[in-house]
Amino acid sequence: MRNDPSFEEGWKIEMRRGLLEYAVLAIVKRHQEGIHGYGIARELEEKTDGLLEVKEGTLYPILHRLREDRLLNVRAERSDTGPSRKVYVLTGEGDRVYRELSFMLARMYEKLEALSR
Amino acid sequence: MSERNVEDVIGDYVKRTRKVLPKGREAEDLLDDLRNHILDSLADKSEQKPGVSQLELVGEVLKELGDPEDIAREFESTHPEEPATRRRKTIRLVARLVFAIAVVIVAAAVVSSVPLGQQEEPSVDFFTAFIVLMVFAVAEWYVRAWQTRSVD
Repeated sequence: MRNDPSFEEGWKIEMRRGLLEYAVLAIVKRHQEGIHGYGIARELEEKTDGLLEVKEGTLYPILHRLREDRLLNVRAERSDTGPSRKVYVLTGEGDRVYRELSFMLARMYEKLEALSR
Repeated sequence: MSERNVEDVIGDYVKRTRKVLPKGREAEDLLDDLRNHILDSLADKSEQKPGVSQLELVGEVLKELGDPEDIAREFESTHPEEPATRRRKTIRLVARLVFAIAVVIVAAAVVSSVPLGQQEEPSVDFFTAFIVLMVFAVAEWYVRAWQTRSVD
């Protein structure tokens, strides 16, 4: 028997990826000196109270994709716990996309709220 | 529990993840990120919970990291395969198949034309030789595919 997710579960899964990319850009923007993957995962969990239910490992393919899209840049940093690790910083294009998305989200929220009134 | 066991657990997780990710530099880069994340998270947890064993903590870290299959699914959805790459793979597969069949036909023709010992008639007819050699070729194909998957 198939175990399909409920309607709201499916909806949440669809919503989550887009929001996750936005949330990652927001976190990296706040850290102008750069932030590593583990730091992003921690902030995501703490600041959203686990609302996005992110399995930390799934964050890395998203970081790679944002990097390929030139929204994030990477520099290497020495680590006390092992080999050097990547530090992510927002690019100019990443900053532009983040501001555009913020504006779009605010407008969407406003209009959706008006719909439910 | 010893540190060696913690390293084994991390190594096993990385191996399991490598198996389900597509091959390539991008995937290796991702595995390096995951390894760094595990070490960072483990160091953080060791500081927060000094009384808890490293093995227990690494279990927590890997649980938070998620199943390798979830990571591979996310990787595939964020890195869709280019149509050109898919076409190249299909062409390579068809070429291998055609080459294998050609080799089997030539081998079956040779085997079925060579008489055995003092007999004038060949010991096996072409069709039987072709079927037997095809079975060997298919078995070899499967074993090689299985070995490739089991590497690491």
